[in-house]
Amino acid sequence: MPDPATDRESKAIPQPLAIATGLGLLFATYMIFVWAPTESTMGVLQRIFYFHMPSAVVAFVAFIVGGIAAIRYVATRESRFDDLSVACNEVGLVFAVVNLVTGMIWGKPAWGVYWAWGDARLMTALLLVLIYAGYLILRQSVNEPNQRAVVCAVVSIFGMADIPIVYMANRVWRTQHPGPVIGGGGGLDSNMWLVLLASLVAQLLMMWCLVRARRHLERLRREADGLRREVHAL
Amino acid sequence: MEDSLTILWWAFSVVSVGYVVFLVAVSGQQKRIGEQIRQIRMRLESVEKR
Repeated sequence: MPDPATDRESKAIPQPLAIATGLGLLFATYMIFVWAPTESTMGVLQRIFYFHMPSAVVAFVAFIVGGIAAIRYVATRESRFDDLSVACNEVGLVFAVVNLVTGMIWGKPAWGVYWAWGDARLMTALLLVLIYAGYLILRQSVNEPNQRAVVCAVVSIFGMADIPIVYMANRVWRTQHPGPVIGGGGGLDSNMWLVLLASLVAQLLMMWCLVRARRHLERLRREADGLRREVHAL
Repeated sequence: MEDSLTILWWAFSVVSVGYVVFLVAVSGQQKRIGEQIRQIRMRLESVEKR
């Protein structure tokens, strides 16, 4: 008889999703390195944008889903929403860090510095990363499961509220960070839009895989805790 | 031009390493906790048999 824990493990990321993600990432990499037109001012360096911008959008999507799941948890107290919330927030943090690091890699040759401390977009994005890093530290420090879930849900909802501030930062304050591409009238060639879309879809699929794997881990932890309590009760 | 390509590869590496490290860490934890669950179940079964 198959072990239920191992059996469910194999279903954490369904095979069609894994294949679609792999193909999507390969296709996006080809589009970025080979197919994308070279921008006239920045040259090849501009292609970092195809990693940088989608990772920010994906981080926002993950944090928003995590925040909505946190609200659902507070309303219903169903543990599946807490599992989804922690999975989304942790995966969102990975994408937010990728966004910051790729921005820094671009910033050094473009601006001459890795980081501009006075830039509103950079600082609000860093604040977002710190909020979710704090969320994960908090999660480790509270032992009682229900109390941990409620406290973390509050931080998750608070973190979600920072997203519009990050989004609006380079619209409200004119700083070093380039102007907005989406919803800001930034001119992108139609071929560049296609590359951006391919990268965004690939990264969204990757996010979905990572969230499913992380949520499954949370379920296993919950199951292990329940079994431990059963053993102690005997 | 070559410098820019190197920088682009750096950015690509950061993205790939981010995904791979996360997936490896999560699957490692899944295996560890899966094994713990199996052992606790065995202990429970042996207690029930007694």
